[in-house]
Amino acid sequence: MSDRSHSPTGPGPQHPEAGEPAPVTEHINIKVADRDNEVFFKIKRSTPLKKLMDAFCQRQALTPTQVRFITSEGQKVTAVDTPDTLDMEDGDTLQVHQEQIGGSV
Amino acid sequence: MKGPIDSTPEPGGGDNDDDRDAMDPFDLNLHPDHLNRLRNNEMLDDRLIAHLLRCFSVAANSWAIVDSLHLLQMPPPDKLKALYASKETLFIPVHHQNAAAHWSCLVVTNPNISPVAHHYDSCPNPSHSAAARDYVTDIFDVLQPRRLQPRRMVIFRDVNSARQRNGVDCGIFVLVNAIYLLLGLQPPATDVDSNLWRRVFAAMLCSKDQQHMSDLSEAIKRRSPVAGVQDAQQVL
Repeated sequence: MSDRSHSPTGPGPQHPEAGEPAPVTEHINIKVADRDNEVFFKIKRSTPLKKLMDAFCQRQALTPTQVRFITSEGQKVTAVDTPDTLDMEDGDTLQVHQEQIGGSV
Repeated sequence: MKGPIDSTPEPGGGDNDDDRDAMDPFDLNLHPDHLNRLRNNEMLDDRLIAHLLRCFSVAANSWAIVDSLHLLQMPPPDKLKALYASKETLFIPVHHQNAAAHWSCLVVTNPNISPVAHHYDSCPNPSHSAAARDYVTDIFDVLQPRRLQPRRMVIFRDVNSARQRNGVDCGIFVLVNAIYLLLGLQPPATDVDSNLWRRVFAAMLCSKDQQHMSDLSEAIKRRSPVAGVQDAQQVL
């Protein structure tokens, strides 16, 4: 199941003059995927990913303490991480895994 | 289809600092539930095990603690090599996700020359052993591709180690094994007082003082293992 979300549209895109480098976009699209669902978010590069993780958990009725968010580089995402601090690129995916808990027997 | 998610911060300022306290469920630090898991004889999760392993290994520069979540999502080869290729010993907590979820652990010595993996399992089972063998093979397929290093096969050994007496203590045994191995000692093959160790680990969680780890190390080295733990608990 794929669930695509869009951020509110802001001012129209500003086209750079010919020859000028494209400006760094303020927003980034991130896909968050667990085993059954994909949700797309558009957030500011400086926004803590806690907001995204909270929103995903709320939508999927997950308990935040029982899931782990991991970047494609295998790095666990913390509450204070932002797309900038994790050097994320537009279209990157955060994979969601269930916590690992064990006792056995 | 669900509606859009607007994550734009409120105008006029960033997030409230109160949102970022140490109790945040997404923080890699711990929250009160972890202390309760230790105190109430409950199963341990990956976050608590990873936190305590980090505490134990803070001074062990030649060791690398492998993230148990790699079992679910292996990092890219370059990242894996950057994390582990230069280390002399790898400690790998292994999570077995089956009908009865379980923790065991692997210690891989000489990972760069002739890797030997020792598997410590407090509830020995052929399926645990097979899963651990597959996991360590997957890691070394990345660290040392066989097509490049055909002679560098991982030697795998199951070690006779102490066994848990209930259905909740496997994580405790992983941590106890880690402490002994980090101290250069053979992990206990019998007589692990898991309740006592739970109290020791709980005391370590309650303290941010890294000195306690060295106090614990000295206590274990000075006496027999069980007495050492009791000493350590006094210290903590």
